[in-house]
Amino acid sequence: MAQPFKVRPTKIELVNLKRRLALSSRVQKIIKDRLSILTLEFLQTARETVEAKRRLLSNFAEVYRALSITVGYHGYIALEKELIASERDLGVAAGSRSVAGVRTPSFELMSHNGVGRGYNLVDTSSWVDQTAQLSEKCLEAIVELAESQRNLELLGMEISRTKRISNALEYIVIPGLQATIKYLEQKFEERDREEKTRLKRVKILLQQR
Amino acid sequence: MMPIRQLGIAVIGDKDLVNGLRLIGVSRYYMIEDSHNASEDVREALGELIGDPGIGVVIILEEYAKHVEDLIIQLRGGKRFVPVIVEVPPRGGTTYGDVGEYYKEFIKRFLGFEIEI
Repeated sequence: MAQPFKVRPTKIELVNLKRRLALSSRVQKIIKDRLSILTLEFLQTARETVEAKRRLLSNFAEVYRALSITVGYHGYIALEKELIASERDLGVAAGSRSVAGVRTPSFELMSHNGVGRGYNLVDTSSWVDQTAQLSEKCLEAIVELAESQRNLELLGMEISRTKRISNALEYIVIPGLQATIKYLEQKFEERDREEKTRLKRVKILLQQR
Repeated sequence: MMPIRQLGIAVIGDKDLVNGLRLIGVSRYYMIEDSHNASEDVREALGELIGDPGIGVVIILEEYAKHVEDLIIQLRGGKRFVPVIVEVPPRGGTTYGDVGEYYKEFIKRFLGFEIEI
């Protein structure tokens, strides 16, 4: 049983409490709706994340295989030269979207349109090309995973928060308000009865005179 | 709405991973050699990357991520969008087992019940 709040037993307090109760139940309904939307989004994102992770794993398996052949073919030292040449300012474009009121990031790999890779095409074998292609696919998968994973985390945190609010309203605030209202109403009835008996008593006293 | 920014990609990994990603242009990398204090090196590198606001995605090898689990958890629990830490498998394949199971655990933590995905 919820404990009634400590309030002064006045009519104005009762009116205020009734207002608060109406507001709380309305808010709770909205929050419940929000929670179900968030959950749906969360599950959708979870599915995407798992898929992205699977893709990443299979891409990496391929890239490692190609890389070992490349390294075997060229040797680390010769490869190092090409690696230094191919380093660039690779980046991601980061924006944000809003999912059910949660701000979530969105990433996209910046494509280097037109510009070839940095390494020397004359000195290197097709293995380098193949490895580069595969690692590019890997990097795309990484960026995709980064986005959906962060979304998943942020949505998860929001779900926990919303759940806490919803539970607080459902199990503490609303029952508390209801109990307080009930307590006040009983108190007013009691006061009425007291008043009535007092009047009767006064009437009797007056008649006895 | 956050304006669109250009953020960098950084990688913390062993020779294979770093070489593979350098080939397509990742220029910020921390190659961790097999030394006795790999754990400290990783921690230092990640700390530096977290402090850098220009870094969007940090790619880290699974086995190195284990050294800095506390930092990663702290980052995941925060409100900041970036950097996002992505764990990638080492040469021998992932050490975590099934992907679905890994995320199922994650979902259970937030939703409070298990669900098939």
